[in-house]
Amino acid sequence: MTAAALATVWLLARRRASRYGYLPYGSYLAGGTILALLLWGPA
Amino acid sequence: MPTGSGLSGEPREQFLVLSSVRGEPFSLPAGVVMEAAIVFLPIAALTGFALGALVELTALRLPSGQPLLARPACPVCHAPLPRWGWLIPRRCAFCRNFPRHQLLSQTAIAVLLAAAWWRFLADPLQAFRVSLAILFLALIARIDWAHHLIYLLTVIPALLLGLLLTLLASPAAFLAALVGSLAGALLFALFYGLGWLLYRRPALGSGDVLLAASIGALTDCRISCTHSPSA
Repeated sequence: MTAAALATVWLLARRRASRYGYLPYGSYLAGGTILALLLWGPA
Repeated sequence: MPTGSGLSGEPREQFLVLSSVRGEPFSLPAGVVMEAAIVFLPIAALTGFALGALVELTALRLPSGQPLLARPACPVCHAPLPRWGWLIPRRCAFCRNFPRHQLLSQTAIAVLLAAAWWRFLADPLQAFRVSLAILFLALIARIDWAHHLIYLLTVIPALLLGLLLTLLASPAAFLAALVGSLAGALLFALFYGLGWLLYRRPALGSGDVLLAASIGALTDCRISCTHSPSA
């Protein structure tokens, strides 16, 4: 979730997205979760 | 991966200390690990490539409302493809379009599944759970990236499987997954409320809240909330 939030803030900071535009936050979350699962394992 | 050796004065056999996420470190002779890796990793990669095709097919068919078992067609000119066209990406005979996204998805999922089996080779249950989670998360990510939608049909099975498979590990893991799931859902419900207050319209959908609950169930509260597995 931290990675997804950082990716979103980076997009906003780079003006690649606006506050009112669509952000593929679900994709970031899913990608970050896959990374976390590979690093630390499942519950 | 740390290595160890046998007793001094005896023939020194290299051991690999495999990480076990929840339990004690698990040691196997390096030769056994390498043999298992040589057998399992290509199987995991090939299975990942085939299942990646299924993920890509579902990501194409679900938003368009087409039946999953309909004959494959070129996404550009809609010319019919061979029956096995969904499994192996190939150039369309009519418009010469090559399905790059399909190849990319299949390759990424093959690499991720091989990485999961390499990482959790000592614990097949963990490897199976991570593989299943990767498949569901890849499907959710693919559809959200292309169509800006998170389908309940994809996120609810991920949530239920994430919770139920922890029961196979231990009751404590199930409890941690349940707490993680509730924490994820509550956190995103809070974001939902904040978005409503700030923008006067929903900034998130219910799919996002359920996805957060699924992520909490898959990773448990420790990782999903704090990113500090040693806490």
